[in-house]
Amino acid sequence: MFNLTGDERRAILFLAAVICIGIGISFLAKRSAGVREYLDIDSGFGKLDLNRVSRDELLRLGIAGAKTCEKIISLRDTKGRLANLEELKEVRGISDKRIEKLREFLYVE
Amino acid sequence: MKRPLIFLAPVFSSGIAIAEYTDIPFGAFYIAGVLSIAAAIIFFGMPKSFSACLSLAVLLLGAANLKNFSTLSGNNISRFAYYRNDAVYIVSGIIKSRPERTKTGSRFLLESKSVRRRSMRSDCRGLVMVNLPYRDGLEPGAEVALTGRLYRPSSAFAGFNYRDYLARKGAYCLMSAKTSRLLKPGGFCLSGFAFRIKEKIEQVVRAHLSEPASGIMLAMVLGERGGVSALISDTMIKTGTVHILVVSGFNVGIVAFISVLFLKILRIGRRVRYVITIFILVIYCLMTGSSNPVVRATVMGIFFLCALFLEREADICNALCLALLYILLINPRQLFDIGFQLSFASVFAIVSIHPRLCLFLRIASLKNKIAKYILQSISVSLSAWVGTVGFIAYYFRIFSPATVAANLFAVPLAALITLCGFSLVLTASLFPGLSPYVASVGELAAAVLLKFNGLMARIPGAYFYLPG
Repeated sequence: MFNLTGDERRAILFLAAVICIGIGISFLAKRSAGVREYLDIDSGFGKLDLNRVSRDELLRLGIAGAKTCEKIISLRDTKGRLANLEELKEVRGISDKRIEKLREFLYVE
Repeated sequence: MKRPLIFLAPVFSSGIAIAEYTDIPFGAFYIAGVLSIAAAIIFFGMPKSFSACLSLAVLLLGAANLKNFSTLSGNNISRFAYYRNDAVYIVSGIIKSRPERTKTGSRFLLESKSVRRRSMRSDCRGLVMVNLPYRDGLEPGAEVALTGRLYRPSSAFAGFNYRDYLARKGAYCLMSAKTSRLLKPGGFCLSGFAFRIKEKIEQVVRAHLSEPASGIMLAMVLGERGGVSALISDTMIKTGTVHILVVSGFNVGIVAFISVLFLKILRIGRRVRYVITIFILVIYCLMTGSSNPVVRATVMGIFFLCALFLEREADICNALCLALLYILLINPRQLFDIGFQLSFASVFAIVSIHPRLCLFLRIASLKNKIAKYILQSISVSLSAWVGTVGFIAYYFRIFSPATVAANLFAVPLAALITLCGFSLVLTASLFPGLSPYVASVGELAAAVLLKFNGLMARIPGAYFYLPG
């Protein structure tokens, strides 16, 4: 009836499927807290555990220089385990402002 | 020879590499190149000697091209700058690249015209990378006067060689500007037009999707990675899926497909359709910042469309080599760019290894369509991984055995997000009422992609850091 080619049919079918799924998601997000929670991606996705992170991983994030990264790892190794990020203030050069910045990338379990 | 470019492209690249790692001057390469061309003319009637002389000429011209590119003119702006310099300069020129948002303001390339220090004013030329507090109205093609410090970049900056990075872009100095004055607005130019479309698309995506999902969609649709956090990038590097955040051949293919389809629905003639699509591809290339993977894919796309226009068969290897030569003729330093190497290595590996793997595994003879699709996906993913694993290990010091498995799931999801991104732009312009539903699917796909990546990165042995 519409005299559409294969590609045209595929494109229209894709759009129709996307809209159909989209309506479903929209409805579920309104009704189900689980779906809302799943869709709500934490802005801190991929944060690293300070008690497990390696020097290389810290360095790759670009949040501190090589020496500071080494001092952080050394402090953790000396203490065995850090209870919270505030303990990093013991490292020379890490201030409250720096801790707040580090909080975007690191967490303590 | 049916595929002359397949031979000439590696020879030309070898010439560039020789010039980079030797101290032979431009004149020697140039004279030898001219002599080789003369010899090729002399041996015109003798195929073997002619081919040998021509190859040598291409090799030497590749080397001469790099030497010429690296030689700065006497009035290049970098000659006015020093490594440590607190003097205030006034530089006027034309904005060449789209101003990128940074944490402290914006950054763009400026084609300099004049420089003033105290009462001394000189005409100059050459590119300068400008950092400037953000202001509206700056777009490619606009003429501005900037006041601030002018200096040469140091080699080690933020963990990588910033001087080499800038040199690959053709810029040899930096400007940290405090104030700017618009001398002449951009007017109509193709890059300015592309820039305005890009801004509109960014607004549409940000209006419909929440923060991490909109960043991912913009990276996939426009190559705009500002919205992707370092943590997300790091996780994707670990699983070997970071390439999906780069605009590549897949995106260019989608743009070409949508354009041809749309024009077909409007009942526009076949040849006119291809010409308009080529124009749209150029606009898309400019919109996405003309990075190496996009330029490669655009040149290949135009090559294929020209073949369709002329009703001739297109050869993917020739198209790939043409794209390589096109980029290296304009800027031979790109040969040493990571993006360039990864882009060409992955496509070359897919083109050369994938068909052989399919033949070896007898995938074509499989009757089960699902098994066939899965095996083909594994073959493509494995081929790309083989092509890029060496570069990734060398540059990123990481080896990810999970790459092939992660890509099997991540690539279809990335394709879905990209398609949703383009569909969102279309529906927001044509049927705004439907766009929230398209955005919901994009958001869900982004959430699944991130969670899957996080899961893969946590698998023991998914990746290893290499020493060094």
